[in-house]
Amino acid sequence: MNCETCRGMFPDSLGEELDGERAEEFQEHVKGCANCRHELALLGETKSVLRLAWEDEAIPKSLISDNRRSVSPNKGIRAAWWHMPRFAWLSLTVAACFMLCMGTLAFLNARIQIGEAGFSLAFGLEIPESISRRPQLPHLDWLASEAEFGRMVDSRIGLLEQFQGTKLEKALADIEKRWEQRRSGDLRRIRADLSYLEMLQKINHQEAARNKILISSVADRYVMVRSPDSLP
Amino acid sequence: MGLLGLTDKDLVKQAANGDSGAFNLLVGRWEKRLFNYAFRLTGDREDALDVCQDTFLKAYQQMARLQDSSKFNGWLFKIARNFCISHYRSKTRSRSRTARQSDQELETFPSGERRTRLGDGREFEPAEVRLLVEGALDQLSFEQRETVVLKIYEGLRFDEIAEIAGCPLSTVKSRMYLGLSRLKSILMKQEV
Repeated sequence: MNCETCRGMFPDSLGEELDGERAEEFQEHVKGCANCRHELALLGETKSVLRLAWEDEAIPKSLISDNRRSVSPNKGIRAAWWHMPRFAWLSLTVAACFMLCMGTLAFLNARIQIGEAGFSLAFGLEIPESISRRPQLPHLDWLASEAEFGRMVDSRIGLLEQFQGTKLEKALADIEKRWEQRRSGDLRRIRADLSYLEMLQKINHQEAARNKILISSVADRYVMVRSPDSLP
Repeated sequence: MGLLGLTDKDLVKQAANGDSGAFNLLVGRWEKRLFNYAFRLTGDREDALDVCQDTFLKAYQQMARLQDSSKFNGWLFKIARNFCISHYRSKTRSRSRTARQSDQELETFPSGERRTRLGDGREFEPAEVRLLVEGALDQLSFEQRETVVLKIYEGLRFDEIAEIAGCPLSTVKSRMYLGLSRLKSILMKQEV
């Protein structure tokens, strides 16, 4: 091992990471080389001085006891919450209580009633005045007679029947009208289809007549060609 | 079994599932070490505290992303390193001024009469040595300083340092050697 290789191994030696065969070779060279030995000793001394001169210090403010915000995921928000002044906490508590009371009252359908005796607190759904007051029936005398009442009922039933009859008639007329419309539409479509079929039939007839003429002319020509009399 | 009996690995798993108690315990276990690491890199207690807070906050937020809970140690140092770099960049000017000041302090450092004699060798007071070491470390590049701090003070292995610094193992060893050599030269000038 030469000096250059040996110095390349200084960090391993100083870092106590040299072992095995390499360590033996290194030690052997250092024993025999005064320069390397001296250099290694100085570096080792430097390392010791460094270690002794600047020992670990205690952390001035523990991050978990004094400063929770450092380990909190919501650093800013939490810090603001924890460091709020006392009056802010008090206000928040009062506001929370107020909100809770209001919520409870709303849940119970509470309402303040102003009456002759002063203010009163009531719970539950409000009953309309028309229901809460005793009903007054001014026409009770008018309905006193049973026959009169029966007549009134009959007339009401008559009116109802008439109304129902009118409604039924109207509905029937409506259905009929719709049926007529649909039937006329269908008829129109059928007529159109029929006229189309007639037209097709006419075209077929014409085509058949034309084919017949063509066949006869071809047949005539064929007869003419095959006939020996026709040869010059 | 309570949280106190759990290993870091188990605590990391619990913290990743949202257990803030487990995370607080992790903070308690690691805050001193992380603070000292940040302090040695930034050279300022307040900055180191800020780095610690930011590091733990980020660790809490990203705990679920840590796939291998046994690598919590390196992962935490890596986060802290990034914050230290931010502080280092933002305070480069003030750091160089501090370095000049410490140079002046070193030049005007106590003469022979104020030093404590131990045997035949001359030695400084512990506080003086501390000041010298701080000044010497301040003269290293960030990478060298970081490597020296992680190796000498935190006792990490070179491969762990390489993972934290995000560079090859050989680079870490080279930084260590160069850093120590430089520190040796600086301190020898001061006759420590």
